[in-house]
Amino acid sequence: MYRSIRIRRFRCFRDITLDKLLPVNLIAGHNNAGKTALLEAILLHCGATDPELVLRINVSRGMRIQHADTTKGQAPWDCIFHNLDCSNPVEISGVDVDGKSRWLKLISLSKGFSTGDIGDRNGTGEPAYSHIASSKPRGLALRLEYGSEESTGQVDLELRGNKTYMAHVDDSAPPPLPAIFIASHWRGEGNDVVERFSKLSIERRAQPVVDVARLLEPRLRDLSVNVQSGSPVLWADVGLPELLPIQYLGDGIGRALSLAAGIATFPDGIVLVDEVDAGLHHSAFYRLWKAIVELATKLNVQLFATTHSHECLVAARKVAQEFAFPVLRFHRLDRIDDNVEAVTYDDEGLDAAIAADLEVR
Amino acid sequence: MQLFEPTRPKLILVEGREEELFIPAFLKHLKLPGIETKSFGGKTNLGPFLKGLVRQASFRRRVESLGVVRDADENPAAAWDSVIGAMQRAELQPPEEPGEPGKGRPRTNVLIMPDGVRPGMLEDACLESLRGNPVLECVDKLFECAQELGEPLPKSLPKAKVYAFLATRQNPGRRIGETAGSGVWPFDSPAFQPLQRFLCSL
Repeated sequence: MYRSIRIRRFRCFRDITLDKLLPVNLIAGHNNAGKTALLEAILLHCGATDPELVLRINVSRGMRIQHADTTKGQAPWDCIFHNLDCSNPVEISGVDVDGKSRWLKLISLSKGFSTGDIGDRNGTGEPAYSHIASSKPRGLALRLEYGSEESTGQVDLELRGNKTYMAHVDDSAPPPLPAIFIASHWRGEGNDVVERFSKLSIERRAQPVVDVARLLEPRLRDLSVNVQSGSPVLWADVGLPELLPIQYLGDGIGRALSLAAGIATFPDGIVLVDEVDAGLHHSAFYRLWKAIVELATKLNVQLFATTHSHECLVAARKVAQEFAFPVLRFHRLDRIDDNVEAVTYDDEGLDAAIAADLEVR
Repeated sequence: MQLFEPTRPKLILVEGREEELFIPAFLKHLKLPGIETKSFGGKTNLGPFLKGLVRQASFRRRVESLGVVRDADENPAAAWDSVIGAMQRAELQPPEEPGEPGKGRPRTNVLIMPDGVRPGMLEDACLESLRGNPVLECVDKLFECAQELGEPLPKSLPKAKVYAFLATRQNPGRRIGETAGSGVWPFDSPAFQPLQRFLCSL
């Protein structure tokens, strides 16, 4: 579990530190203040030895490898560098509750290798001879250097054409921290939740997930995974003659399921949730937070969740007050000139702000 | 629900609802624009309130001058120390002396009602401002009469007298704050001079 995280030169962050972290960390801020970027940075730090995470966080934002113009030397990971300045590495470091630190550095490299078949850029198999450059584009690579007090390591992600290759330089890497990023949108068609629920069912650990879903749909008796048209689907028994695909029960239930399944799947891990309140009616916040916080503390999961909702924050704080130990910390990201700063509230300040109807988001 | 965040460069924090209504009426009388007033919810809440306030993005971006108005009650020195301590805990630079604004950013100033020197509260200043008003004689006699009948005096006699006076107005039952904008209180009275000086200093 993190006690503090420092992020330098990643996306909108020139240099930001979040400290006094607790099991549940709620993050607010205006649009474009860096809330999602913060979660991405933590995810990268957790999976420091997996360079493809850098590409996956871009895919989560709708950006794919093909969107980078490599003939101009653009790499699909350029946008992770602060102000698009690839000459300065991204650095993310974290200290856990035992005082141990782990770090990750992301360095943009330009390698002197050929990019391979020119024709591959179009994806049609035919060479693109309408534009012929005087020199071939240089290969692009991203180096990840990572380490802890016990060990260090390095891995390169190379981009040649539309394909990526991973080159391990040193294999003495610290194990990754189990972590999951739950995006703000629940479309219901992804297999992630279904897979996770399926795994939990096999391990007989799915009941807490069903219990959480039942908070939003009291008719729910059970959930099960069954195949429809060749694809696994999560089905809900709400007492009707037939089961219903979970998508028919609305975004709120999907959100709750994502959250609960994520926590249940990653004990002793980190769960990152973007817009935790998405799709949820304000009347559900207290019940959901109570279930989620109890599940997370029971499984030793650290939660980082972003929100725009005042009611969500108030409900979370109300739940936190029922615990005998500190469980919730509220942080707000403020964009000040070229940088983003984290403002952290202690319990006293947050409670007074809420009681006085002060805006804190 | 409308959540509060400062929208003006000058902000006055007051103890409660009465002051939250009274001060804006007084500011209007003084023709001092650009000053916002907000209650911090009681004297024991000032510390936590300031901690929450100073972390607001709007506060950090907008507020250049912050004033705190608190009642002295029985001990003006203790009230002053309490406000100063709350400011320090919120990492604000407080004023060093009564009547002198602090030098930090935002500039801070503190007024302990009724005048920074005597015990009392806003109601004392209101009562003092009525000196010479013949209705006050009736109010005094009311309490003398009650005392003669064996009734104990109210805990706060000035407060009781102020509300007895307000009960003689055309719309009885209104509180100090609600009457502030209706000409009941002679804002030019010397009793309100300390408040006027404080508001002009922000």
